[in-house]
Amino acid sequence: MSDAMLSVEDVHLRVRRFEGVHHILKGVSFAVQAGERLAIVGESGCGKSLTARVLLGLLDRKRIDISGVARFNGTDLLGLAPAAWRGVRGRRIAMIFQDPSTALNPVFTIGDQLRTVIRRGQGVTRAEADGQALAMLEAVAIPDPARVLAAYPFQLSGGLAQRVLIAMALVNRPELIVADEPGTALDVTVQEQTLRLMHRLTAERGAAVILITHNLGVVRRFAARICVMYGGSIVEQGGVDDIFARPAHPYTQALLRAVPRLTGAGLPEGIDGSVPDYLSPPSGCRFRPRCPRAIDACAVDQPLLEVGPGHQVACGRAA
Amino acid sequence: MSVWRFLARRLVASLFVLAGVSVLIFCLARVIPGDPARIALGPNAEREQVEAMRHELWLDRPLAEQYVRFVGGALRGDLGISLYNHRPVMETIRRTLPVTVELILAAAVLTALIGVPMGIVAARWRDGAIDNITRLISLLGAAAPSFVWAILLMLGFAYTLQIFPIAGRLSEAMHAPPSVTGLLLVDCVIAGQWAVLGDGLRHICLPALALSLSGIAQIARMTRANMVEVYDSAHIELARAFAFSEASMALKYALRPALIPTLTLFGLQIAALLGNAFLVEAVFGYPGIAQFGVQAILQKDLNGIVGCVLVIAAAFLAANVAVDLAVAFVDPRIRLGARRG
Amino acid sequence: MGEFKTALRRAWYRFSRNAGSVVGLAIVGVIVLAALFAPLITPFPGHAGGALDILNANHPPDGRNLLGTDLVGRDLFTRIIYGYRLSLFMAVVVLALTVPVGVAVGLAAGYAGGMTEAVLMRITDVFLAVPPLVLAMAIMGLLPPSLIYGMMAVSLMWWPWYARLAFSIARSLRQEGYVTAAEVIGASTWHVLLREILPNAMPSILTKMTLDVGFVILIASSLSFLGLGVQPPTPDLGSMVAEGAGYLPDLWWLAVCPGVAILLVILGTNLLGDGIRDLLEAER
Repeated sequence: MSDAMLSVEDVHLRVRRFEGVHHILKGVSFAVQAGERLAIVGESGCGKSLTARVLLGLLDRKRIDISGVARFNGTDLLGLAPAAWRGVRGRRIAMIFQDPSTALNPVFTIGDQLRTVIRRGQGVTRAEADGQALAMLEAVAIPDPARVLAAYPFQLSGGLAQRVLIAMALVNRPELIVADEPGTALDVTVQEQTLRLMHRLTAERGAAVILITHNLGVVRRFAARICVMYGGSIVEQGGVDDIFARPAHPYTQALLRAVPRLTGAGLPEGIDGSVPDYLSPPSGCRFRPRCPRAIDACAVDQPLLEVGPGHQVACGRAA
Repeated sequence: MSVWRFLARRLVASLFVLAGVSVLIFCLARVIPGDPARIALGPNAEREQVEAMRHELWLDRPLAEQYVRFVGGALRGDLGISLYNHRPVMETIRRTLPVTVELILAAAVLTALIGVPMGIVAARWRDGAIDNITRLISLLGAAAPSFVWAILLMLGFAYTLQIFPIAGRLSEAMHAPPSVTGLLLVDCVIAGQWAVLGDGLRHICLPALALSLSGIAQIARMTRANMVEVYDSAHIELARAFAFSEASMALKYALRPALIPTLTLFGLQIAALLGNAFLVEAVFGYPGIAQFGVQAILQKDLNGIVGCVLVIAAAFLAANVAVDLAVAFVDPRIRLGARRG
Repeated sequence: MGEFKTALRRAWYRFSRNAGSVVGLAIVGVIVLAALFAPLITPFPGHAGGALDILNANHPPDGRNLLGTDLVGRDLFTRIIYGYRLSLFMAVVVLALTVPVGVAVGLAAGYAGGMTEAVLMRITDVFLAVPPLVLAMAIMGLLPPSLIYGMMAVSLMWWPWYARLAFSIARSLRQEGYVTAAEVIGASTWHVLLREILPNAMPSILTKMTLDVGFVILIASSLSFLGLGVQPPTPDLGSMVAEGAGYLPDLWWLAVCPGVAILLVILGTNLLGDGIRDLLEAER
């Protein structure tokens, strides 16, 4: 695993609130190779967005306790000093934000914000940044980029603004892009276009992508490998085809059954029970209370076990 | 272009409100029990004298006619004769208003220059020592009426420490330069009279500070709360994710969105400044419109009261149009018409 | 009952996590109790009126007169407690008069919309266009100086603020699903206003009322400081400061003690109001 571009090992995240300590991420481990496309899938509240924020150091370490290792090209991101983040954020790891209507500053022009991203990432002159901004907007297929640079976010459609967010993430040619549910705030056709654009541009530039999503349809088309997350742990990971063809974890199976299909019989099925309680979670597998196949062995922590080439699952039934 | 339309719309709206204020205060002044002429002349005046005065003030005419005459006069800059000092109300206002305006401007500048940075610093180092000190200052500043602060400041800095003069606008030995703007400090600069300027500044410090303390408290609180909220917003998270510098976030990307509600509050603060100026001027013997206003009120001077209220309402409305313009300048959504102003 | 107790305990837990709120509650509690039982706890209840004790005039604070005596020898501590009594009474009366009126106007305008909204809110705007203190002073100036008229003047300038608040809440709730649902099933306008909209507006109104107790005291004392409102010998904090201001710096306690007394009660209600706001916001 040490040759991976990014290797996350046993990351735990705890938040202290007045009711007690919420143990939200529990031993998250995964790796991303250079140029690879990994999807992290799970329902809302499973910790996937927090995982993305851990990778960019966006969490307030005074209030949130994070342990473990996240080695990115040899440096541990979790031990990085605030000043050292400058060389990483936006420059080597960039993030595509979810909702363009809130992620862009409402009172500054697109040009101002994109230019600041470029200048902070590359230290170039204003004129050079202007040129790059214009070229980048063209690259994300924005018509009339000069007008968009002078515009304020509220003057752009959601689709255009989302492209601006993609442009921001790509413009400094980072090695890794973390895309946090890009386009979920948009309608389906625009979202599809956005994802295709992101797919094409990252492929052209050879950037690795971590795609955070709850949408399995999206995963199938835009990722090569999947990590399925439940209750703050990765319960299954493997190649897209393996997981779709032979889901090994009951949660993954339930998730796949919940996907609406155009062909085939029956309505999508829901998953019984509710999302896990992080304040006093069940011991062992956190899916246990909702799992139809739970056995006594599930009450202890489950390691990820190989069930096929590159296909691992953390399940008491698999042991 | 749309900025001008925005301004025009606000000005027209303000004129309507001002017309409403004139009706309100005029009616209040007429329907309230007691005969103003009788009160002005005192209990010992002859009945004929009172009748003559009622006639002179048109108090014996129908209310509507009185109002039309009053508005006609007001539009020509005639607010009638004061029943208290027997001079045209407009003349007194013209003489005293600039004094008050200067005091209020000084207080507004102090409010902005102290309150906003306090809020920024408190939000940036949230829950730290600076934040707690700011919170304490905000609590105390807002907890006392300006006349209490005026007296405490006067006792501490003028009587005990003797850093500042006790009262007045200028020392007796000083002579004001010829009036150009009516604002003493500005006139001093124009005339190049630096000694007088220094003396005037020393005199305005305590009244302006007493006047601005509650505003400083509220602006600091508001700025802090807005900054904290903006710091938690997605666009500041984006700024962090792209390694924007702390300084540019605090002073640019977080500050500007946070300033918008603060500016609106500032507009309301101007109302408080105009009202509290009466109290502070009374404590420091500052020769502004308050001295006249308070006397007019105590002496039941009908014309004086109506004139003062109208002028102050007009000043308040004008200040609010200026604040709206500032908001439009800061917030492109208003400037470019995404939201109704 | 048990559930209510739990809710109460949780509310107190949240409230007491902020030391400021507890301090505010303590200050307000002590002042309210002192004001209520003024005749029992003050050393010289007779000094609340126009009593004279010339031999003891102008005493600085000491063991006998905690906060000193005034120009005619009355105990300042006694008069300040009675001043609190008057201030709190005024605040309660003013809020009792203005909150229902303002809220009714605001709810009506916000829910009805159209012409009703336009007329009511423009009238409100006119009142709000005059700085509150100036309007109250002007009205006071036109009325004879007395407690009743003082409260009337303050009330006249106070209701528009509640109208504004209730209006903005009613307008935003007008579109809410449960309000539309109530309308669809044929609930009367009164039902919708009183049962659907008003309960949702209550937290904001209650918070504003707590904060306004201090603010009414502030405005009322400002008026009496200028000689408008309550007349001597009734003990009033504002007029006591005004009287003492003429004797600075030698008889400093005459102005400083009632001044600090005003500061203390407003500080208390502000802290308490903030605590209540945080509590009500957390509950939602």
